Amino acid sequence: MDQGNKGGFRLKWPWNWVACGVFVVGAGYLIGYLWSALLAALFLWWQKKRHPDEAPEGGYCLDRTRKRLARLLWSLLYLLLAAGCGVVFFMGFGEEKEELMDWAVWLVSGGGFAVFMVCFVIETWMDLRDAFFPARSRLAKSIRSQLPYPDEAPPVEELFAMVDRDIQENGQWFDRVAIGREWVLGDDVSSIARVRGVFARDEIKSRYINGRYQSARIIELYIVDDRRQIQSTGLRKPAELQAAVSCLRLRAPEAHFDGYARIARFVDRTEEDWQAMERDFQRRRNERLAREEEREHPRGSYTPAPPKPGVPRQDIGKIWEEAKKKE
Amino acid sequence: MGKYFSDVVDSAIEAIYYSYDQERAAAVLQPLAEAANNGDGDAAYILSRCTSGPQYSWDYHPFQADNDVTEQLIRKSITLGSAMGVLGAMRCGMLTPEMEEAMKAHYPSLREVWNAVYEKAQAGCLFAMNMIGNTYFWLDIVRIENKSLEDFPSKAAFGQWLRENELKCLPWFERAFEGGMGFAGRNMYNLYYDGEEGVMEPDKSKAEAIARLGAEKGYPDWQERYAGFLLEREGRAQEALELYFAAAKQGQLSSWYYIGKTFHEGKLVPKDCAQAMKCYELGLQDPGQIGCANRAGELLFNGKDGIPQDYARAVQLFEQAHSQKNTWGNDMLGTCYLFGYGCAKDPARALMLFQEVDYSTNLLNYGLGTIYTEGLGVPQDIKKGVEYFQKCKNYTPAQEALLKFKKTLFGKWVRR
Repeated sequence: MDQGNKGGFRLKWPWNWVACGVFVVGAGYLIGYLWSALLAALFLWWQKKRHPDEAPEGGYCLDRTRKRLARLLWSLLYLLLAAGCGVVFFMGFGEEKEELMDWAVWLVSGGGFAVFMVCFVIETWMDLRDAFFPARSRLAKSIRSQLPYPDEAPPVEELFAMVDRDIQENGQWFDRVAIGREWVLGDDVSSIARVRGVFARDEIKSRYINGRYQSARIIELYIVDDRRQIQSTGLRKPAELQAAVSCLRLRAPEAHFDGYARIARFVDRTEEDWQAMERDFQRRRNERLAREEEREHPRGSYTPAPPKPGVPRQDIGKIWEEAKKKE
Repeated sequence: MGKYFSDVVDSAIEAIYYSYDQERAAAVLQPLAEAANNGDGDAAYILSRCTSGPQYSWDYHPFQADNDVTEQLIRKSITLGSAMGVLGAMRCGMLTPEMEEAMKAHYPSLREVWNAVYEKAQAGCLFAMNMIGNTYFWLDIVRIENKSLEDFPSKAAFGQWLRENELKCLPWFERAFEGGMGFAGRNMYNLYYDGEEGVMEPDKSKAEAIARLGAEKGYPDWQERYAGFLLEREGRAQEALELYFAAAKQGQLSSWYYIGKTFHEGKLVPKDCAQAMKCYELGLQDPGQIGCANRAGELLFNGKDGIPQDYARAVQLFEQAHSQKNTWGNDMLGTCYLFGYGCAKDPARALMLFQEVDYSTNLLNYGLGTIYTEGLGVPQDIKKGVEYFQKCKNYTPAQEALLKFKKTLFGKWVRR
């Protein structure tokens, strides 16, 4: 279906990561780790480019949970920061502090050590949990939260297969978000039937630190479901965010679409308002489904009446030949 | 001996030309063939008209056209001395010099032939009246009277003579038509409806009057034609529908199309697609019914309003219409081939069907967009495909398809 899928060689999970890891370590000695890591990333990108439509090994959901491993870099950063703070804190543990500044440095480093250690532990735990225990992952939890009875959810393999199947058959990708007919797969999963609000966030946040401004662009898609739960996914390209919203407008036309600034007002409405919104939503959806039902599954059935037997066309040539024979 | 010709020929003319009864028409073929074989030239001629195609009798008479048999029978009728056979051969270009020689064994000249038929017409034979009318209408009279430009002082005088003679057809046609030969109204109607340059101006009201008279006389083809006039008159649509029903009941299969369309559109009567489908199916007893094939195909393609979707049958019907050079349903037929609905996938055929049409629909633009963006049977051209998608108005599949593509900074359309 695609111009992509140019075929050819492709390393599948986990061999692609194993090969890249070995390459990074091996080539790191020769050309430096930064360059070898860049080359490995380039290789992975090239593989993806050549097989854009191919489902990842194990499915889209499992691939998403596995990718949490990459976030271990954040854990490493937290660990380094905790180590730095810890060195300062523990070295100052037995020292005599004469000035207020000494106390302040000691206390801040202690606090930093504690905070970064907690961050390290939580991040590591979440990343390892998602990657190696997908049943407990954020993704699996979000899928369960979309089911009618989350407590009676089937095993995670079935949950993931359910979403994967829809994405494989009907999914349209917008950066990190895939929108199928029934599911939206991002950092969380949303059931399209439950989508009540879609909020796009494209903001540039600036802050003043150490005498200079730092800016960051936040591009996120927020989906609010009928249980007022919020599922969010970060994206990298603003145009993709707009396209994803456009696609959701087609797939969930009755949902409320707005900017991120209004999400709180949407979610925090009173129970009475929420019920009124829900009733209106259901009414409009039923009307649309009825129209589609009429088109796709006709009421009743049609059996053509047997046509009145007409006089068959006469082969006059044959009649003429037979008349000639009679002579 | 019959009133004008032999018994067999008289009753055959009665059954074929003065009535609209398929069974009666079929029943006279055998006696005609036997009479022709026994030396009745007129029987051979009447039989030859039956194999000449629907334009020589009612469209729904159960006659199989056969050019070879027609030629054999015409020749036979001339050699057996049928004056009608000679005039008929002249009309369809079969009066060759050889046949003219054969004619001379019975009639010294074409004028004598014409006189023989003319006498029958004068005596009240409707069929002969129609033949005489046709010799004027088609200006066969020029050859019959052996006239040419040289016989006239000027070209204008010759023209004047031609005009006068052409108009002489009208009283003959009128008499035959009013007398009970519905078939005789065709050329008269066409002359009034379209007019003829230099002869007479179109007179639509007169044409309508002919159609009305035919309808009043109960001729089904004229009931259908007059209903077409009534449809255009405000407040007379119901009357038109009744006429279509009356015509259809007499076997005018094309009327089922108009009745079906009325139920399909739901303007005149409450919309009832199941009823419309039944009408189309009835009309489809005539394989040449393009309208019924297309409309029934559309209902089955859309599969709504009580009609279950049936792509395979829709493809069959659209193909039936398309085989008669009709492109009305090409967008739906092309879509079936493009996506393999009810048939094997064949994007090349889909493209060919899409390119044949001179109209634009969402389905057509969506199909072309898909073909070009995916490069199905053509080199991939995303820009062109996207342009087709953009032509679709409020069409969700096209809007969704558009989301698969994006424009780069350099203005190039690429897959997202």
